Amino acid sequence: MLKIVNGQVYDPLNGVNGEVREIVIDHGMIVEPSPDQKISETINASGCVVMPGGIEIHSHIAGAKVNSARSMCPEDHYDHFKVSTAGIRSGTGYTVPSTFLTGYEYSRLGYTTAFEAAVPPLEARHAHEELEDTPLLDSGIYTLMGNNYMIMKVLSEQDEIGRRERLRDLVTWLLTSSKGYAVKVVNPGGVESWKWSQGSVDLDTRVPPFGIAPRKLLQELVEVIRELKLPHGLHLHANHLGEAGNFITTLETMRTLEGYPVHFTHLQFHSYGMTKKGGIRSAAREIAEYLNGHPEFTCDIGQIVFGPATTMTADSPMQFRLHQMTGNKWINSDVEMETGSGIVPMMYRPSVLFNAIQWCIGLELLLLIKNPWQIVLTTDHPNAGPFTSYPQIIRLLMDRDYRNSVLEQLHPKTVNYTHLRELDREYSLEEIAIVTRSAPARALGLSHKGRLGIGAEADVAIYRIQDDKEKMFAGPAYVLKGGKVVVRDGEVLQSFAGKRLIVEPDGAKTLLPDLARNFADYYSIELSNYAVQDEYLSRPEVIPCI
Amino acid sequence: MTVTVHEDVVCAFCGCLCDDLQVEVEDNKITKVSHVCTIGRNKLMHSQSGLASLRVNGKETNWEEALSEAAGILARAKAPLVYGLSSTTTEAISEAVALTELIGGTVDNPSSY
Amino acid sequence: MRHLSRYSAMSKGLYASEGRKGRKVVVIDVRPTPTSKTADLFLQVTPGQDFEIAHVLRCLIKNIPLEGLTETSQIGGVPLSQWRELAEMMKQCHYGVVMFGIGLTQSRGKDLNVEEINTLVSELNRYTRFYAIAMRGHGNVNGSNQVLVWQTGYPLAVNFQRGYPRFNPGEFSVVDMLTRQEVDAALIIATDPGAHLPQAAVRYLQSIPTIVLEPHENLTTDWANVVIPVAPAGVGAEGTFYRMDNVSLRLKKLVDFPVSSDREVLQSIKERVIQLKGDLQDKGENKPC
Repeated sequence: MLKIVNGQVYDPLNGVNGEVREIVIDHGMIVEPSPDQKISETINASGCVVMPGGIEIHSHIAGAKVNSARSMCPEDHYDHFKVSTAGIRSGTGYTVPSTFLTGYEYSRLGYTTAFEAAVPPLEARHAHEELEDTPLLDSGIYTLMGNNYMIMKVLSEQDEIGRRERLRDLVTWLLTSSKGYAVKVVNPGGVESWKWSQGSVDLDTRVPPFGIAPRKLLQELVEVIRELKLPHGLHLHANHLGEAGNFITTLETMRTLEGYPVHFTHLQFHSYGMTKKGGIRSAAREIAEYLNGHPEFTCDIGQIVFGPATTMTADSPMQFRLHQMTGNKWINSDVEMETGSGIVPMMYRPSVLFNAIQWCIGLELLLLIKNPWQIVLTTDHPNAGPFTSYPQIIRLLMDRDYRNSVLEQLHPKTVNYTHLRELDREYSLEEIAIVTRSAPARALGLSHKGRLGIGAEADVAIYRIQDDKEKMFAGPAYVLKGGKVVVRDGEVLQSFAGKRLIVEPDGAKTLLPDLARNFADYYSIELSNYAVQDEYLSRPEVIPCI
Repeated sequence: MTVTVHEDVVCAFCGCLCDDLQVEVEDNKITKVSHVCTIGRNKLMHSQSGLASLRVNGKETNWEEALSEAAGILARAKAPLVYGLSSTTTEAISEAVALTELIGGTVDNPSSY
Repeated sequence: MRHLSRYSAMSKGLYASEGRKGRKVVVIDVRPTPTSKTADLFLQVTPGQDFEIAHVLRCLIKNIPLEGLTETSQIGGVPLSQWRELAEMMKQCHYGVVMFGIGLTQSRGKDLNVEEINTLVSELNRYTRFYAIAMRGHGNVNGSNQVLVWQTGYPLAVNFQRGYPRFNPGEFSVVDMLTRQEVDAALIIATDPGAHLPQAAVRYLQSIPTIVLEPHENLTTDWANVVIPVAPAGVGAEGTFYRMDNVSLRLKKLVDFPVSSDREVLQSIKERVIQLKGDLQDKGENKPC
């Protein structure tokens, strides 16, 4: 048994806000302290805060597109490497680290769970293979469905009751075949439209080949997700990412899905107003105001970090636009019947007005959305910046003077298009604990994570209290994964595989017969070889649909 | 004698990885392969003959000696090369990379030339 | 071998229901081949002109004037008018794919040829959808690139001498290291360098201690110091392979072999090396350089 004593505990889900509490750990779980326990190791957390392990709700860390990005960007790796030591593997990479390094770097920040945000079912095996090599993290994948041929085909059917049932079976089959955790939609209809060399889509654009409008696709998917009682709602990357004036589409999408469990991801990229000249201005107020009245929705930010980034998404038309705008190198992929994807490396600069406004918008959302339980801190790693920048963002949230000092260094016109200078709010430690741990745990339906109460998993991060909050959160004194000390003073002590989190919703486990015929005719592999085999998940855990 | 028919078998020969082969096995012998190209059929039909024998410096040996000799060569080497990996599983490739890291060697595959 | 029938020219697609009839197939090669005989357009080119050809196609597609060239000027042994016809065909199609083979990397220009083809394909996306697929030879050469990339960041030519992955083709690539005689032992897995590598490289390989993991006798097992037979992947051992377009598949085990898989053999060797390294360090030998 292991005991953590003298630490100021932050456990927002249990209402513990910095009080000194003892935490006792046995067999990877937090247990009730009692006098007759045999304690083999005691951690003195005096002068430290004790928080649940961090939970990454949206990150691109494993699978086909991530690996293509690693391969495409050796220049990302040369100066960023880790030497192997006994039992700890070596690795390279800054914005797209190799798998072992990804696990270690998350762990070194006190993060213990992470979800890969966009996986085509056809390439799910690859994502799981990489996650097996991403140590010290419990992990899962979101399964892409927003531009899937079979989904659109079922949606085009006339019989409403039959259609709903068939969609439920299809979603279940896609989730279980890919061993996914949640339904992910990226630019609904927009990727398919681009594959037909057609323009970008709005909510009511009829998308070939079936003429399905994105609005209908979203409405029917959220209904099915609710019926299936999935632990995480629809994970949505809305239309028009990164375009001036897109907040109108974002708000319209929100209104369409009112009352349903939906997570709006990397919302910063979807909160742009338009200036008279067609540039972007902050629409964070409009978006925040709406969310403040709609507690059923959650979001993550996708905060810009100045420096290098590697953009990668299933949103292939957006990536093509970015490639043409920047002239930077570009990979594009067409995943048969399912989706597409693109990759473009980027550099965000404070001196570039567009980037400076983006940076402000992310922070404005974080400061203007009142209820921290609706927000998760992310950089949409590595799209807006690497996850290793989280400590810097935490400092920006907790330290207004620091924030304003950075704001001073941005393009001088930034203030004309943003509100950040007017915002005085500073996050408390409790709010930081919420947006990095407890809120994502709740949004993901993970009842044993993001908390430190009795029966919770013993994923724990212990940070020394320091005035400089960036330093404080960049180097935890201890990190525990499943009750084992895995990091001490920034050093990774041991390396082992985490659990893979999956769902088993109550729907069909086989593909509908007519769609199976389509599969046989048009997929490039055989149906029996499609589903991810059990061998790719060494430690699966089914999270119940309740 | 019972015949086992394996359906939707993946052909490991070339980068196409056709995964619709049908392979019949009788008494642990591959006896028939269908839905396959000529090369793929030959590879599968001949996969159980011409097997390499376990040997060290040309002499047949046992597993213990062969594995120890291999480990000894790699542990003593100052600049070992691990090469190939074009016709084996990713699971084996992973082991090869881990081994190369351990011996401080170089790992490469045929796509470098 | 089933590329044309199962995946490309002849396969019936959702939006190409006629199969071969509804498609245009163009073959560019230095000599007629069985594939070129089935093509709608075969352009027989002179060797070593790949970069120029791709470059001219890029110009034609972007309507950049080609000064000093007339319609009868030869580029790679083919008149400009024919390249113009091809450029139009590419620009006008609904959905195109360039499948390029290893020949592109073996002629003058090497990797630059591939880059030029990829740039051509990128630029075509301003007009239509176009993709490029590298035709990979051996079953899982892509898989070895994939694993190396996710574990080390680099697809090939990775060196661990400093304890972390370093990448430098030309320095850490097999032919270069062998011909410069920079390695002192070799472990060969599931490839036959005796059959494929240049002679100078093979000669040097023969002079250093070499271990081979291989199911069948081949040109390398002939002379290797240690030969360890293993069960062939997809026949006697299961596991994962990556198709040339990055889709991964799980291979089945079909029959029992009297020997282990190479994964298991490599694990055993690794364990023994860990043991030996410990012993050698205790004796003060094998100091890290």
